Amino acid sequence: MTLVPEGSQDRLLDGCEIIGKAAQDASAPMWEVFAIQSYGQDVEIERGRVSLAGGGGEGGYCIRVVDSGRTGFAYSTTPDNAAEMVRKAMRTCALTPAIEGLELPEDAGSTPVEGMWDFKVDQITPEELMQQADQVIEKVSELDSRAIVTGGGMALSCHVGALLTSQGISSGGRISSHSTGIQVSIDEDDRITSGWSSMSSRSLVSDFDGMCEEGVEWAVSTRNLIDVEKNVEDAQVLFTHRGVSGLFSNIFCSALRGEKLSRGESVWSGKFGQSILAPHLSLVDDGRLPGGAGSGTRDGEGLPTRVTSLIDSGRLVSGIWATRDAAEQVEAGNVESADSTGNAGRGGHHSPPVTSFNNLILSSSDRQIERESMIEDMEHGYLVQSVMGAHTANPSSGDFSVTTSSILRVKDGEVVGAVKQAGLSGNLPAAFSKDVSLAQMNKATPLWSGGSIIVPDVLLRQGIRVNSS
Amino acid sequence: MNLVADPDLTGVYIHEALGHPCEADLVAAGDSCLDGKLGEMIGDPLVTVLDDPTWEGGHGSFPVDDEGLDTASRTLIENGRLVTYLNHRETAAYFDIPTNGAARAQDGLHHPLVRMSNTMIMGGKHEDLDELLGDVQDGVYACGTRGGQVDTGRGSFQFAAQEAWRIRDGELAEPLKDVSVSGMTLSILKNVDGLTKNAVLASPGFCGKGQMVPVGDGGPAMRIRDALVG
Repeated sequence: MTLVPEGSQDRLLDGCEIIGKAAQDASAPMWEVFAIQSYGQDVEIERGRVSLAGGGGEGGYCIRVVDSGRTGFAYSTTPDNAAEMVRKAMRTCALTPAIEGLELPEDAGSTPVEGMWDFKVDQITPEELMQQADQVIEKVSELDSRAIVTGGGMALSCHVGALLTSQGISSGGRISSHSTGIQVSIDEDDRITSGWSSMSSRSLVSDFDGMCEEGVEWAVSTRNLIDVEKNVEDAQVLFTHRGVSGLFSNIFCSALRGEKLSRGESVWSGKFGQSILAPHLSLVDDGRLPGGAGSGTRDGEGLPTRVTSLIDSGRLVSGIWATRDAAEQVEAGNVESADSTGNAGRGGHHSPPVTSFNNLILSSSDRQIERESMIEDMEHGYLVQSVMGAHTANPSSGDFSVTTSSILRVKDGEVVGAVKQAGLSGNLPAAFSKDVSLAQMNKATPLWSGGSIIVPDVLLRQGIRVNSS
Repeated sequence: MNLVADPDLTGVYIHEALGHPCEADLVAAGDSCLDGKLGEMIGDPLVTVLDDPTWEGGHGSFPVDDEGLDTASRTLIENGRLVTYLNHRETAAYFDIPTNGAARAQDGLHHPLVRMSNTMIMGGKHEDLDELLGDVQDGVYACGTRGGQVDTGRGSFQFAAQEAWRIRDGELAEPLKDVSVSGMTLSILKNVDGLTKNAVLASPGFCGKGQMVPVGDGGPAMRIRDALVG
């Protein structure tokens, strides 16, 4: 018994062909049919026990029609009503404003990305998944008898997809994933402290020890509250990769979208070729990272994925584009020329593709050291594992004002205890352009931090204001 | 710092920082700062909070919950005392208390969870905003929200205001940029020291708890001592 029913891939391609034929019959000039079917199993954990297990499958088909720069879209759960889908798409197509130069991409070939499918994920049984959840619950308890997994769970998913277009693209594929996350809490002396950890892989995960250790470590280390005077200070802050990923994602991802850059809505608009980050920092979007959370052979419009350099040695090189945004901004005169960078993403069959990142990877040409050595080097400051409200950061200016949920005080190169709560504020792009260091990517902890954002621990020595209480 | 929140921000605070910890499935999961506090004084006596799925025209109104129970208004906090959690059948059985029709599912693909409806802090004694501001020598007046986040277990929260002004000598002064408010739910509820009379359902919106459902929230303008404003 497998999650994905036999013959799913062929059925999806057959369905795409039925809808594509209906589009041809209706004389749609350009069309693309996308289909996806997702299957999953999940187990939820509450208060130290498995509380719910479930699973299922869903999916469907969609068509995008392009006629003289106008776009129409429709979707359905079945190809049986292909003619009606095409009619709906063509009707909305006639009503939408035209974008001069908008055309669906031609087939440009593709090369598979390794590590996107593991048959073991497809074959695992609900009983085995429950056993894994129990294994995590027991491991946490073993590490600290006070610690309980108060939330989280495990999820397996397998997605089968297909894309067929009037421009010669006929493609299909499948991906698997195994994700787990836990919130570990210690409720003692009328005070709750928590730690959070997660891991995600395209392959079946069997070793959860690192995740459990991280969750317990933060639930324990934040119990040692130290007295701090209410104080506002500019301080060095070492963000763990989990601590920085939310702010990084909300500000940097928005700022590097081609559409935002060209419209003047990015903090880096008008700065192509200029130095915007510290000279040792580089940022790429890698759609071809083996086993990557955001990797794929083709993007959501069928273009081959690639590695796009966005910031090279601190200088702004490029933004990311999908076909529609690129044509729209060229037509608006906001940019002289723009082409898709293979960054069209699909959220399912209910919506057309939109510009999205694949795997955004931050790196440094400087020597990178481990977290413990960074703490010694910083001497005085704070270590931050999680912040609340990262999504309230202002992506147009880079300003943020958030509060911490797990923060430790560092004095004389050592962690001396936890601060109950502190506000952090500043301008993230400015802080990354000053005195910044990246730690080594710790192979023992999960690679993924914030979905497809891959950042190591980051020490920001300037530009962060800490309001502790 | 003294904080005065407009009805919009007050509503979001009540929904996020108090309403979610009142959801009995989170209490049962060990993820609520209100665990074990039924019947206790958790706020200033000024504070009364309702969750009312029958509020006429409310964005979060529904006559029957997703387990088939008729709905009615529920008082969560009465004059500072925690009266009840929001329950569905499973949590009502778990805590051995009556259910109160709070089961909601996003759609047929999801199972019902304990959810809020229209959540309101009720009005107080101050006539209007001017009277509420009048006693504040130094503080911040914050309006609206650009979103926020809550840790229901620890009872901490953070919200970003859409607009904010400094309050000096009882008057609104210079505007402030990118203001956020954070704190611990239980401390803040005890530090409420003023509410205007008129409570309004201010913010139609959607609440995400793994599933999206329509909700409403609101209240009067609310004054809080000793808030962390950044």
